[in-house]
Amino acid sequence: MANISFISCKKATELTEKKLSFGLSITEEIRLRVHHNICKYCAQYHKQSIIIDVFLKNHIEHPETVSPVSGKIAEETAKNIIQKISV
Amino acid sequence: MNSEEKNLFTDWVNKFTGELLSWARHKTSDIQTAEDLVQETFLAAAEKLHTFRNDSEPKTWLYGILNNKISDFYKSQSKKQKHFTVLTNDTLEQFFDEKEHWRKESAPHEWDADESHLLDNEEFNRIFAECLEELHPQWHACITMKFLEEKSPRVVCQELGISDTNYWQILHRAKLRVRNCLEKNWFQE
Repeated sequence: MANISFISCKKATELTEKKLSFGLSITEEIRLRVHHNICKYCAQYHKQSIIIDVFLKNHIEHPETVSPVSGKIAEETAKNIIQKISV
Repeated sequence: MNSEEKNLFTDWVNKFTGELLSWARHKTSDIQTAEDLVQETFLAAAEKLHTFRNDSEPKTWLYGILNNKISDFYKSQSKKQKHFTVLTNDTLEQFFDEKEHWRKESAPHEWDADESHLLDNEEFNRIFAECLEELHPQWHACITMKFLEEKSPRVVCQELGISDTNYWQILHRAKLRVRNCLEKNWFQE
């Protein structure tokens, strides 16, 4: 009989991230699923972590959503670049 | 560059520097680094202007070059670190108690949202970007590399010179923070 030891919430959330990056061993997979069956918080965390990955991918494709630098800095930089190109 | 190309290029610099700078600053947490990277981007673009296809979007093309430079920046920064010094426990202690259970005030609640609609929601994307901005730059680097390069995590680790374990430990801490930030600032409103 396999030794199913119960993992903590902290460990469960770690395993979520390990799973999303590299995958889990069978033992780890079982432990995670058992934990999700009894802990709704970690089950939520798992779902939400996957959703956040979707947001992260989208974020890379929408660079216009970040806070803008000041117009002054942008102008200065543009001026410097144009000077360098004109050489 | 002939004078027509030069005019066009100058136009691009004036039009896009602001946006490129904002993105680079967001990704590197440092305005000076951002300026250097954007400058390098335009210089590189000027040199290979002949490869630019007129049916493409200049902005997309420039972002492509910039993102490669950002990626290179992360790799060089990472190599400079002797140890990955940012795997402290304070994030973990913020969310979990001594028994490693969720603290009451941090426990995940259900998100009442249709993610597909959120992807186009400007307000949401702004808040999401702010949540990312709070992250330690090294964490931001790991997260960004994962999605920027579309390379496997193993390859990203090699390029950053960190172990697999460090990688997902960083992602773990980053995700805990981002998740919490989103829940507090969006889903719980």
